[in-house]
Amino acid sequence: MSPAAVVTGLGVVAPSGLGVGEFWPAVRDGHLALAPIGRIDPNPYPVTVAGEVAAFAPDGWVDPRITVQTDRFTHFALAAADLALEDAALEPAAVGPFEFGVMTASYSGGVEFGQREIERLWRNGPEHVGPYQSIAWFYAACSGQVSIGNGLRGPSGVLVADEAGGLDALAAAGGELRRGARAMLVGGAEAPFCPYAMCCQLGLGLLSTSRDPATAYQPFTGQAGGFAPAEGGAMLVVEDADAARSRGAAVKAVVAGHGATYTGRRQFDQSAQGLLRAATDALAEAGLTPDGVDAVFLDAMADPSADAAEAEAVRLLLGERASRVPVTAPKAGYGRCYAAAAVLDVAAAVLALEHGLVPPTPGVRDCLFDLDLVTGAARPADLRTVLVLSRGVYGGNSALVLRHPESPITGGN
Amino acid sequence: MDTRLSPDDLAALISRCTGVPVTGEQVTDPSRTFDDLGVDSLGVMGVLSELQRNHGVPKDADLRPHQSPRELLALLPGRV
Amino acid sequence: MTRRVAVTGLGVVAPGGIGTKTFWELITSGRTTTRPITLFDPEGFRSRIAAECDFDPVHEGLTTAEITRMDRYVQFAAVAADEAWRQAQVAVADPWRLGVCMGSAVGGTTLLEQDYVATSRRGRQWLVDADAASPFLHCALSPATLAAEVADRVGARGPVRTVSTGCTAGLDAVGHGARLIEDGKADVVVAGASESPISPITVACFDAIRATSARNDDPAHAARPFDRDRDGFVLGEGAAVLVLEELGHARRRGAEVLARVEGFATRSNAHHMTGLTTEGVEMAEAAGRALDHAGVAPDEVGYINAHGSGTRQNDRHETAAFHRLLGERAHHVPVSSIKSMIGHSLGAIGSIELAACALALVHGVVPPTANLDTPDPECDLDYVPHTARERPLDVVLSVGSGFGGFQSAVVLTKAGRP
Repeated sequence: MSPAAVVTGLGVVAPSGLGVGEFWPAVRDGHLALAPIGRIDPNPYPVTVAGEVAAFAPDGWVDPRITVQTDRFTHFALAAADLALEDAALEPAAVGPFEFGVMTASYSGGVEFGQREIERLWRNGPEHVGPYQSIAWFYAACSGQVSIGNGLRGPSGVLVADEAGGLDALAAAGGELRRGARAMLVGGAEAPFCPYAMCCQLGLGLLSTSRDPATAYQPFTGQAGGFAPAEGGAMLVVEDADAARSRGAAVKAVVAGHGATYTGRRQFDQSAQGLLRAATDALAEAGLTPDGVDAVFLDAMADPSADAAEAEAVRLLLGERASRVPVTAPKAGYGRCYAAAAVLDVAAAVLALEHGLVPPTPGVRDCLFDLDLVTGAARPADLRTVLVLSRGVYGGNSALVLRHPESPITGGN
Repeated sequence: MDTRLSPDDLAALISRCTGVPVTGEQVTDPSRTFDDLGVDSLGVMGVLSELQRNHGVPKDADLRPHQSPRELLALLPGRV
Repeated sequence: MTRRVAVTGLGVVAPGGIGTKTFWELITSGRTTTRPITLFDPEGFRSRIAAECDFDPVHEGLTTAEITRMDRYVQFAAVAADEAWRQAQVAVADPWRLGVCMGSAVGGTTLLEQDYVATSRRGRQWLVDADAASPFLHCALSPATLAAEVADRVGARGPVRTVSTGCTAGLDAVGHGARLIEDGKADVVVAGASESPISPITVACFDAIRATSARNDDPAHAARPFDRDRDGFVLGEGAAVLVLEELGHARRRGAEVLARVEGFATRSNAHHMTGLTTEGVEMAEAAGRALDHAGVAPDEVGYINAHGSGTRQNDRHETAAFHRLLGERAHHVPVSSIKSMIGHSLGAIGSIELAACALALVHGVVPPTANLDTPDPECDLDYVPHTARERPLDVVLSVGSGFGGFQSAVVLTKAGRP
């Protein structure tokens, strides 16, 4: 990735809070935002604890004309895009007409909207399917609506690579910046809490069936029994460094390197090598060695073999430093938001760089592995370089290197 | 099947289908088109389908955004 | 040092036959494959026609386990990937340098719908019965599985991703795949797209916006891009896969280079989720940028593979875009739409069209636009009606347009071109 990609705005719609003003204190303090699922009531399914953005309704965030034609996942994306632009103090019209684009990652699309329309079709007949099904369900709905809603006519894309896709979307946005775009809104959103979406997720066999929000999602512990799923999303404004500088934008972080590998569907034991390779590639692109890593944001699948593989990857990457470099998984506090999970991690990592604090892994006390997993309270640290790891249930392993804006710029290609 | 719709009913139906706030007065104004109201082609198709399903508008009826809700009112059975 | 991208393998599953050879014969013959829907009973739907693949996964060599696990669109991709991989005959020394980039617009919709019917008792039970679901239903929720299945077939361990930009996904998957090579992330990328959207919910959703043709009594002539009497697109299905390879890598092993992928760009119209402007500004901009990227002047374009969906709005939008891009020369560049023969397979069609473009470069033949009897008076370009045309080609442009306002363009050039 080009060292020229910089993060200038964060828009977060998470179970932990709307906007970084709510999100960061919650993440910093290890607030637990998991709770019984309210959107499926009554809930006959074995998964009962999740991270919901319970405070969010589209009113006030989304034009009512758009609300009727979109799924909840797009509502999240539109709100997150607004927040990100506001945070970046960037007016889209101030960027050249074809130089501002959108890149999103999606895992489950507009599935709640889709369930409703399929129900109408099978219960009442084909003429009962509404005109918005064609634009609400598909994975590209967020990129399209964010582009239209903000007048962005630059390059657009949509990735549906599993959870790792969130980081890949940032890399793809970096590719657009290198090819002439000046700014990209990039991120993802998920709204997987309707009965049918839950039915699909159950088949993964990876979701926590604990009924206690305090212990439902405990990665890297002996109690790890799956992850708590989450809804929400995040959008980031990523700009070409020169473009950001010339408009006097406050740069929050530099997107310095990315790597991605694949190690087979549901073969988590293989992912240690995959994550290692992805991280090594990302660091090389950033012009760094593993010695430069100051903190790691973990994927934290909370599956015993997946956790062991991730711990192994960190150990192989950092060598004897592995027991000293702070690592963390803030998502244990608000859940795993599929393709948006890694984007939320990136938002948290950018905030960590900004505040010089590594946030804790909520609810986790006894880490099984020889890692310096931050638990309890946030830990002050002089953070220059943060590594974000992400992994998908279908074999993707991705790594992203973020650097403090005052770090010397190195690497690139 | 309820086929009788007052202008206010039609306005409420349009609002429900399209998210655009519309009044009964607006739907009887012959000079006001769906475009003017901010209802796009997909919205018009949604409104028309709803009327075809539940309010007796013929299946072959057509409607475009440059037409007015008043023209739609004329498509409803039992109205002139 | 610029890394360039060669195409060294092609695989196609399309209506009218399986395999690249059958596909090329079909689209240069001008025959159409559009017919009444047989994949489900379309009684009661507005549009009851489609271009279907006569596809027998057993005959195509898939195992029982694969057939059980894979949705129809994944099966298409597997068969197309196998064909492309066989042709490329490439041994990748380092599997971390082998990537996959696949596209699909609606992914596992067919399985999602089938299982919904089963788990909801035909839509009567909102709280679906999870015990009635197929064990592979989770794969249908996200087409990430599409790229993963292809990756397993070729042994890829590099970047593996799925692109889902609606109807431009097939172009975008190849474009993003080529970028992985250009950017040094991989040396070989298996890129393409697949779709099997002919299911009640997809047909109904296009019915609802009257985007598809209702010429149910004459399906063979229903897909009529640029024709005055068109009435919408005809849904199709299929897959195409291209093996992309860094040019030096291909040359060193003496591989036959079929074509080169030299330019890719996307733009958004920020106008409407389904509507297009009459000016075609963003499509022209995407195409212009892709040509720039390829280092090719618009004057050098010898053929344009159009989006040509057969909706009035698209045909006019696109014609305006080509005028804007090529100026006076627009009248002298052949433009055609193979959707007239094999329908519009949403996310897959862009890759199928790129396969057609690569073959057009290899054979020096432009495939025709079938059913173009009476051009729309507002569509005034050379759309190659009915009959394929021999023409030496060096540079070919393929464009696509999709819901969301996305416009994409890919430039392919002839293998021997400097």
